Amino acid sequence: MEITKINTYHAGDGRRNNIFIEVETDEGITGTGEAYSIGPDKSVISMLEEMESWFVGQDPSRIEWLIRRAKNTMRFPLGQVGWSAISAIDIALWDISGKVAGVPVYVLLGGKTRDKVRVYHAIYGDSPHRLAENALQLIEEGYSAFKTSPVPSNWRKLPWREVLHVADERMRTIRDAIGDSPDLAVDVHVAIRETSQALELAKVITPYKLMFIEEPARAEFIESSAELRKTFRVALATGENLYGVHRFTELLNADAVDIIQPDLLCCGGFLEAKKIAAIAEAHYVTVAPHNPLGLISTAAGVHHAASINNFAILEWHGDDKKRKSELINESWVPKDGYFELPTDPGIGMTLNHDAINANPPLNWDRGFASYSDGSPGFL
Amino acid sequence: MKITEIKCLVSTDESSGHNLVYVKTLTDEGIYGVGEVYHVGPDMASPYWVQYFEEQLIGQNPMEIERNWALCYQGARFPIGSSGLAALSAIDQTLWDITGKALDKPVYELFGGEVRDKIRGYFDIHGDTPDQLAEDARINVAKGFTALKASPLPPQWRDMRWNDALADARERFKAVRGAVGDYIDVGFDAHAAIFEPIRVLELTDVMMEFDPWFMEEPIRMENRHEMGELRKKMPCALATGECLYTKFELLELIREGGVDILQPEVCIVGGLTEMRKIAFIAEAHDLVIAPHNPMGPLATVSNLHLDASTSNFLAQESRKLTTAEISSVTHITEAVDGYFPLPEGPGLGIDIVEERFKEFPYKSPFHRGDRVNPDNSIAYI
Repeated sequence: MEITKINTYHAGDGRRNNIFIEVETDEGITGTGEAYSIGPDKSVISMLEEMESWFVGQDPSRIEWLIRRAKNTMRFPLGQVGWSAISAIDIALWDISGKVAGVPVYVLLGGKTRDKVRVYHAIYGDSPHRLAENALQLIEEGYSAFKTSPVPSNWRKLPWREVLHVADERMRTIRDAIGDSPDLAVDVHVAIRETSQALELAKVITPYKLMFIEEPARAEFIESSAELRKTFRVALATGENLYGVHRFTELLNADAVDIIQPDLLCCGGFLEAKKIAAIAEAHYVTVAPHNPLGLISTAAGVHHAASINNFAILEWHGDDKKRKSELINESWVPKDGYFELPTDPGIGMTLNHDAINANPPLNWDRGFASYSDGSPGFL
Repeated sequence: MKITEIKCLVSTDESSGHNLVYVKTLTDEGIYGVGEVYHVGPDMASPYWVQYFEEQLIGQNPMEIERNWALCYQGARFPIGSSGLAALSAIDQTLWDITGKALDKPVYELFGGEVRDKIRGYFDIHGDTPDQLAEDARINVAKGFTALKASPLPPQWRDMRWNDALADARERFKAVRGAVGDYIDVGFDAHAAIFEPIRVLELTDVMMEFDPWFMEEPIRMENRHEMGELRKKMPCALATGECLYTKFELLELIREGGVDILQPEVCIVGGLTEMRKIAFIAEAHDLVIAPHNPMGPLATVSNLHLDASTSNFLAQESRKLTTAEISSVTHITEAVDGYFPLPEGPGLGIDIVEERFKEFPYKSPFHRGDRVNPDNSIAYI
C-alpha cells in the first residue's frame, strides 16, 4: 500500500480553529489526523504541504521510519509547527493501520488496559458562584472530576495579595457547593513566572483537596517545576507545552512532575505518546492527556488512554455540545464521566466535509496578556 | 478471543546442559502463540510460574497485552525475580505472536513498522588460546560478520596472577586483530566476573591498543551506582544490562550514567513489551540497544522483530546454535553477510516442534559449575 496524498483542512469551530488532515492511499483507505492549532495555523498547514512529498509513495505501515525520516531531515529541533504537523500525520497513519488490520488503534498499541476512559470536565464561570453552579450541573450529568483556573481572568491587573484571597474564595465556594468527594484540579496555565508566587498560591489552595495543580511554573525552565515539587503537598501536573521523548525525559529525570499531560496533537502523536507514557511509567508517573482542541484529539486521547497502564484521566471540555462536534461524523459523548472504548477500526472518527466547508477558519489569536503597568504577561 | 491454556515445554539439551524452556499459549479460536523462557538454571521453577500466571490469564483476551502483563506483574506483588520474570517474558512473547497472527501482520508492524531493511548481527566467538580465538574470528568474518564479541580473558584467568591475565588478554585481542584486521568491530564481555572496578580499568587500558568496540558488563550488576562511577573513567563504550529486570532497573542504570549500549534480555526482562519500553527510555537518553541473546532460535526471532522496528538499535547478538536448539523449532533465521533478514510474519513467524520435547524430556537443572579463586574462595561466573 502506498500513500498518495495528504489533504489539509482548516475549520472554524465557533471559537477558534481546528486543523485536520486526511492521508490517502492507493487502496482507498484514508487516515484522519489533527494538528494542534497553535495560533499561526497557516504555518502548520504550510509545513504539512511541504512535508507531503516525503510521505507520498511510501508504505503507511512504516510509521517509526516515516516519522523519524521526516524529523531527521528537518535537522534543527522541531518547534510547535513541526511537532504539530508530525503528530497529525502519525495519528492518520495509525488510523490507516487500524483500518487495514480491522481493529481499533488501541489494539495495535498493546491492547486495551481498561474498559472505559475517565474524563475531567472543565468548569467555567466569571464568579465563584457561577463556577460552583457549573460544577453542580455537570455532576447532574454524571461527571465526577473537574478543572478550573484558581484565579479570575483579570488577576494580572490585581495586587497579588488580592489574587490569593480571591483564589481562596473561588476554591472554597466550589468545594462548599460540591463537597470534598468530586475530584477537583486547577490550571495555572504557565502564567506565573515566579516560583515564590506559585508556592504562595499552592499554599492557599492545597487545603481544598486538589487532584492536581497544573502548570504552576513556566515550561521553558524545568528546574522551576522541580523546585516547586520539592515542597508541594499536592500533585504537580504539567507537560502540554513539551514535545517528544527528550523534553519529557528531562522533566521526569528532574523529578519535576507527578502527572504528565502530553497533547497528542503536538507531542508527536500516538507512537511518541506511547514512548513518553512508558518512560513516565518507569518513573511512577501517570498520564493525563491535554485535550482542548478538535474531536480527533479526543479520539486520540481515548485510544492512548486505553492502551497504557499508567493513565490517570483525560481532559474534556464538553465538546459534544459545541459546534466543533459538527465537524466530525461520529458522536462521542461521555457517559457517567467516562468514554466508552470505540470498537470501529482505526481511530473510529471521520471528518464531515460538508460541515468543514461550511465553517471557514476564523481570525483567531490568543490576544495579549498584560500586567497593571502594561508590561506583557503570560497567557 | 480468550486464552484457554498456557503450557510450558522443557527439554534438556545434553550437548550444552542447558534446558530449552518454551511456552505455548492457546486460545479458543485455535490461534496460538510461542515464546522462550530464559534458562536461569533451576529451570523446573519455570513451569510452576507459567502455571501460576496461567491461572490468572485463562479467559483473558490475549490481545490485551499491556493489561495481561500488568495482571501478572502486579499480581505477584513482590519483585518477581529471575524465574518468574523469565516465565512472564515468554508469555508476553506468545501474546504478541497471537496478536500478529490474529491481525495477519508481523509483530514488528505492530511496533510501528520496520525502520531498516536488514538487521546487523554480531557473533560470539570463542577460544581458549589466542590462536583458537583468532581462528574463530577469521571463520566468522569470512561468513560476512563485521562485528564480533569475545571474552577478554582466558578461561583459567582466576588462577593466574592478574598481570599475567592482562598480558594474556592483550595477546588474545592482538591475535584477533591480526586475523581480521582493523575494520571489524570487536567487543569484549567480562561477564560480570570482575569484582573490583579498578581492575576493569586496567584491563580496558590494555585492550585500548587494539581499539575495542565496547567492554561488556565489566563489573557486577547489583550496584548500578558503581557502574556509573566506572563509566566516567572508561576509555571505550560500556555495554551492559542483560542481568537487569524490567524498565525500572534499566532506567536506574541509565540515570546512574552506567551505560552506553543497553543489552536487555527479552527472555528475562519482561518480554517484548518491556523490551520496547526500555528501547524508548534508551532513545530518550540518546542510547542504543544491542539485545543480549545467548538463547535459542525462538528468542532470536523475538529480538529481530524488536530490532526491525527500533530506531536506536545497534546490533543483534548471535551465536552458534546446537543441534537440539535447531531441532526445537520449525526453522532458524541466520545472518547472511553479517545481517539478519527481516523476520516474516504473521506473528513472530516461528513455531515449536513439540515432538522434540517428548523425545528429549527434561533431565536435570542446569548448573553453571563452581568458580573458585586459588585460595578456594568463591569467585563469580
